[in-house]
Amino acid sequence: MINLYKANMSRLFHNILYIAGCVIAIAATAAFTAGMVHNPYIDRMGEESRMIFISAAMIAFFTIFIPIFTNPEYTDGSIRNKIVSGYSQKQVYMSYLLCHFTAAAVMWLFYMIGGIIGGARPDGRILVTNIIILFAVLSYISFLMIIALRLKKMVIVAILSILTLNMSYSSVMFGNAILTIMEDESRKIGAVIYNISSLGQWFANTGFADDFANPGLHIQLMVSVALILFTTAIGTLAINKRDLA
Amino acid sequence: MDYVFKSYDLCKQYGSFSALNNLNMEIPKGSIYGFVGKNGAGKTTLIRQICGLQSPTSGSFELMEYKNDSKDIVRARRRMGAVVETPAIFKDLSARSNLIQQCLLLGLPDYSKVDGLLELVGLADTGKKKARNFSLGMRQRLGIAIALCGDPDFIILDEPTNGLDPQGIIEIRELIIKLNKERGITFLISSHILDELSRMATHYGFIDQGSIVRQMSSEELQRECCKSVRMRVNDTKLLSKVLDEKRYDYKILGPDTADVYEELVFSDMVKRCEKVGCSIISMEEHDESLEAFYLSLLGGSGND
Amino acid sequence: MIRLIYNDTRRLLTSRYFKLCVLINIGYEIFLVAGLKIVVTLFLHQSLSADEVAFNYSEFSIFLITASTLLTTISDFTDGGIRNKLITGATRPQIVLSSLFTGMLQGIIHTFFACITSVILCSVLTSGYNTYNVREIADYWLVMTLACMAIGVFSTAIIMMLGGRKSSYVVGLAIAFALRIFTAYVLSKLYPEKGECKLEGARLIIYRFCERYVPYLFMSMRPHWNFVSYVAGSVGLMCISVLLALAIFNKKELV
Repeated sequence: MINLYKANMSRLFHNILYIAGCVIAIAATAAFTAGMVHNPYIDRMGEESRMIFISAAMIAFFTIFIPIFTNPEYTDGSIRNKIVSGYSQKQVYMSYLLCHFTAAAVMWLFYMIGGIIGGARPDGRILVTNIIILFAVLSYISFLMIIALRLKKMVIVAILSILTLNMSYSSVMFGNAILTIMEDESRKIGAVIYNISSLGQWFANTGFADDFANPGLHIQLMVSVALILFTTAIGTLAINKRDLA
Repeated sequence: MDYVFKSYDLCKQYGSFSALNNLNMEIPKGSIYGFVGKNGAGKTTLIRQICGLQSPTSGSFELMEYKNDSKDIVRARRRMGAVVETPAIFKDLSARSNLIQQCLLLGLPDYSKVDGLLELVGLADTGKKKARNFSLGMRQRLGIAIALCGDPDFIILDEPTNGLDPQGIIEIRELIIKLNKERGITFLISSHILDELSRMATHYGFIDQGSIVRQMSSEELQRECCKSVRMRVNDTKLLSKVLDEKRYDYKILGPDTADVYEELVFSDMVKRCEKVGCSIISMEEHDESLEAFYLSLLGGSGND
Repeated sequence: MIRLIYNDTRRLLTSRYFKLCVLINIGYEIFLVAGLKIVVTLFLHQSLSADEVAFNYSEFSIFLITASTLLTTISDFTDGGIRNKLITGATRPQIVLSSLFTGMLQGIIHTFFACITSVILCSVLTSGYNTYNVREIADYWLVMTLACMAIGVFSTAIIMMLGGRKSSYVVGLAIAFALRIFTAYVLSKLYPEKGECKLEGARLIIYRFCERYVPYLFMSMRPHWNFVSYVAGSVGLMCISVLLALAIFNKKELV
């Protein structure tokens, strides 16, 4: 599987869209963190908060990137080469998952560099918060992988990926309203559910959401890890038994 | 005899449709196996089973002595290459990048063979041109080059000359023969162009409705298609005496029919047969082209 | 041209993807109204007013129509339908106009089904309209139809301009999502929850213009501008889409 991973990484680092994404990540983060974009809400934030605010762009980027990069396995038929070479569909899935995780981690590094250039202080708190954001992005990617590699039609993959982003956004807006009417234990449970969505975790860490929407960094991390494991298990369930045309 | 592939009552169902129906087939090692059948006969389905793209409904097969349900079949697959239907290439990469991708997949330590492969299939001057801008023939050549990565022992080609110009067809044929002779690579070639197959195949398998109708070597096929005189007599045992005496090459088809692969003089044959008490009922020239043989074996209708 | 429009329309109406989108449209309305009815009745112990559920089509419609046009139009490129049309003698402008017509038709049909479903569900499951009269409800659905027609034309135009590329799958949907965020931002500026609008100068003019004339934005609110504005905005977006699609598609290299 190492060879599969290397092959995917080779393709990734030559992909124009990904390279552009990394360049924009560093440039946009630096500009946004430094306060070059003016808005009454954003102007009131500190550099660190502005840096976290722009991190949502990574979620939007991977929503578009994953279908375009991954689905050609079916549309171009290149998954056949991998199966003929002796790899299983599960190995192809896992290698792509790891490849996208690496892509997210590399983009996150560019984002962090951009944030520091823009003026964010690289202290422990900001590092931990951004690691939580990274794991939120990874959990989002692992969900998108189910769509990208379990469905073969590119048009359905594209629609469902953007629908996922749409629904994440809606759930955050809706969740904010619901949480305000909840109380005590039900609010705590609601907060955990709210943080299942990676946009929910992002919103809770920007400071825009109410304090009760943030169940704590350790809970957010656990939710992300659990989601990664769960979606990977679903994504690889009986995948080897699928017939390929 | 060593076999690269052997199947045992292989079946594949798609719902109520049987694509493969108790298929039993053997591909001798070192052969160029021509796989012939009508559209929808099951050729591509079988190829998909061998490549691991699909699993059989029932039955089994052995690929380079590994059983299809064994975990070690992966080792067999690492030693094979295939072009199944349309070439599997990344359209946004160049020919060279596609081959490098395949080298990476196979864990090859370097890309030194890439340029040689491009030269071999006639794509050395494509440069950075993306595969999306290739002609059909160029994509076919690239698919073959990808199949050749990793020095396989067994290569499956599904309609390899599809989309190639006459020059390209000759080049691919010569390449296949060369690789087979020099490196001992076994080929399974599925094709509709019988004339083309007859120039390179050493063995043939005829498939119809998911089953192998006939397997034969090229010599056997040659004989079947050879010019002959078909004689109908009252007793072929008596005829054999005459033919043996003359040392003629012949084949007894039944108690009253024989094919004689010689130029016969009718009057001479009549006299000789009369002497041994054999009556000739009819004699007719029998000249079967490969196409005619195919049609007689598999039927001429149903090109669906 | 008529032959081409007939062909495309027939293909649309028999397309299983289009039928699926219509079913999803109806299902969404049912889910929304029935779901809210359950929540309001069981948890809040109140009756559900039609005002709360009758006007929720707008947000969903943007995504639905964009997805529907993508599903039905992209196959012209992937299956080579455009090649067939050109071979049979259709010109490029005819192909574009016919496709945009079916995009517009999708907007009308989806809005029609949403309207019928909404009216039926509101009659059955709610206590009726408290704030809005029949004329205002009719105005809303008329404005929605215009906006959805414009969105159908615009999203089809994007596919015609980019068709054949991988980006054509995601650009239309990404624009729909981005405009949704932009709409929320603009409306929060123009109609803040607390206090008055603090925008001035060019920003105020631009935001007002967008809110009044851009279908993606004006459909998010109850109609409060004059009808001519909505017609002008929808027709304007349609005209821009047609002109861009014609200009780009005419020069496009087709595979």
